[in-house]
Amino acid sequence: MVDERRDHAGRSRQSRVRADEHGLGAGGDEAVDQLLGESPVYLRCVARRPLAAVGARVVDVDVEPVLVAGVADVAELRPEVASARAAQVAHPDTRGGRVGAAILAGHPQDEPHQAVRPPAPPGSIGRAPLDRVPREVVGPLARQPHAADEPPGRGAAHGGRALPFHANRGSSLGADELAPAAGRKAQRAGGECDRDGERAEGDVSRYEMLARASPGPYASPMTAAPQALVGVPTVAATRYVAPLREGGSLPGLMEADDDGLYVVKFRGAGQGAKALVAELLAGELGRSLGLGVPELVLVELDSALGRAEPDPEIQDLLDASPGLNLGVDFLPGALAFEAADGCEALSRELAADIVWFDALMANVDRTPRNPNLLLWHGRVWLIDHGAAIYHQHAAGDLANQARAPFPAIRDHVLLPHAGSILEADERLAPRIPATMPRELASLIPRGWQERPPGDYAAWLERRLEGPRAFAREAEDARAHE
Amino acid sequence: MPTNSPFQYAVLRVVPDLERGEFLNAGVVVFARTLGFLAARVALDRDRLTALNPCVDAEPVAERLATLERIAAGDSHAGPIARLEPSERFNWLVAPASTVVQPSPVHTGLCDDPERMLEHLFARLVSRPP
Repeated sequence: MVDERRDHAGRSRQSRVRADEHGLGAGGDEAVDQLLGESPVYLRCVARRPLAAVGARVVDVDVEPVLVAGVADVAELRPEVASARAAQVAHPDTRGGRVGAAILAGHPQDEPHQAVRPPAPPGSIGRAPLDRVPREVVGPLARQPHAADEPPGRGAAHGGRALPFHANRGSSLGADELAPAAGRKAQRAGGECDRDGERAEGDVSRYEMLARASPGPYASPMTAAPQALVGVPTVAATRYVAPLREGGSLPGLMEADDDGLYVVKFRGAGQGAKALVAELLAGELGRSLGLGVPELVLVELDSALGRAEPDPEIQDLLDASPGLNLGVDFLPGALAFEAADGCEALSRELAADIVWFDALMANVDRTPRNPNLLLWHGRVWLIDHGAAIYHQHAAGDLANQARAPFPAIRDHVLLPHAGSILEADERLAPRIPATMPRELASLIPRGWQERPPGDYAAWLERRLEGPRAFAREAEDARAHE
Repeated sequence: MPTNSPFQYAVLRVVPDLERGEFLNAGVVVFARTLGFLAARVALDRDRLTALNPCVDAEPVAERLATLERIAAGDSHAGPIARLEPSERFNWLVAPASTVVQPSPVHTGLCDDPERMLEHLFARLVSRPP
């Protein structure tokens, strides 16, 4: 499992390279006499994938250039865009909340992926210069469709910090109980510890609010209360911290302009934007069901950021991923979930809920070898959904494959521990409103749309139609355990 | 005369804060394929861990290390990974990780007694220097 830099020609084109250990491959103590640099497919990075040669040709269809000079784009309905444009305003405290881009406002007749949206809330541009009017507007508040509609002053009332948008997500908590998500940042900065009772009141992260709402180890016997789907905020990456080498796609831990740390999945990685779409849709759906999914953000990556990165592998990824990428809130100090220990503390109902969720989303990546579950603050967290909606990698119409069997569910790490999947089906399916698939699809950024978002909405709608064969399939797999 | 056999080893590190990247050696895994040997030995020095990060809760970390030791030993009660073949278990144990317990890069050596090598590496790499 050494880093071979397979896509770095300078380092890999030599014989007797130690092979990637694999059960079916060479043993670790056996030298390998082959050129590992000759890999036919470069997995890491789109930009380095060898392209088939295409012969140059000109097809003359006899259209005079003047005839097409003034023709507009393909005739299709575009989203309504408000005439007023967003302005950038200074925010008194840029470390406060975030202002996001995606606003949900659906009308059944709209294109499912093209939401009618009000003017985007203004973006923060750093601290206001002292000689300007600093606080003419309210800061970015909790995730409201339009921040300017919010009553002013809440941010100031909380010590100048805006509320984290997640404040809206804890449905069982009143606004008075909510506090800025400063705790994690303080902890990260080497500040106070967050053991119970040691931290000042009002310095509680959203995750702890969640934990308080449903206390106990791993935690709730059941999945937490469902939460409304809200938009995904956008942050800008400011610093590359460390590569995460678990998987093949080399996500990176990055700091963003809200001081948060995010595990960034790059659009330019091997699986491309489709993996980000899967990550986004599954993550947001999982959270709306009440499962523990770290917050997702869209991470704007400036192409200048990677210019001086010395690691060629990382630089290639950064170079190939300008624009929006996906960020998963980093859970500092999280431990890997191990079935031997974790299952004892995980309720059978919650395990069944997670199996049902993965069956619904056709997620092949929750196996004993690679559970993609974390233990953090006494709760199980679901990460890495890039392999969900695996049907999307096949050619053809996505919706037509929505009812295809999903035999991979028998490898699910929690299946041996899960309670009835059919009961989980009865519990969870009613939590998904009929509008959810289209709302989810509307979150997909334009630059990720290798397939039309409507395809994903249709796929999920058909998957949710009862009777849901995937639930029966998972239940049968459980019975054979 | 004992014959030397190749072995592979990795150090198990505790990284309480991934951003800072500071780590503490807390275990060593030795795998000698030709001798059919796979074992880990772990020890968590809580004082040194607390010195790295006073906020870290040592208990779950120690449990995690103990689980890895049981998986290396092939304890049949230690979950599905522990029931795999030794080479697969070793691969799993040293697969790159970004959580609090992470393996070091794997390196190799020659030994005639892997058990003694495990003790040797544990003393050199994990135990507190005298």
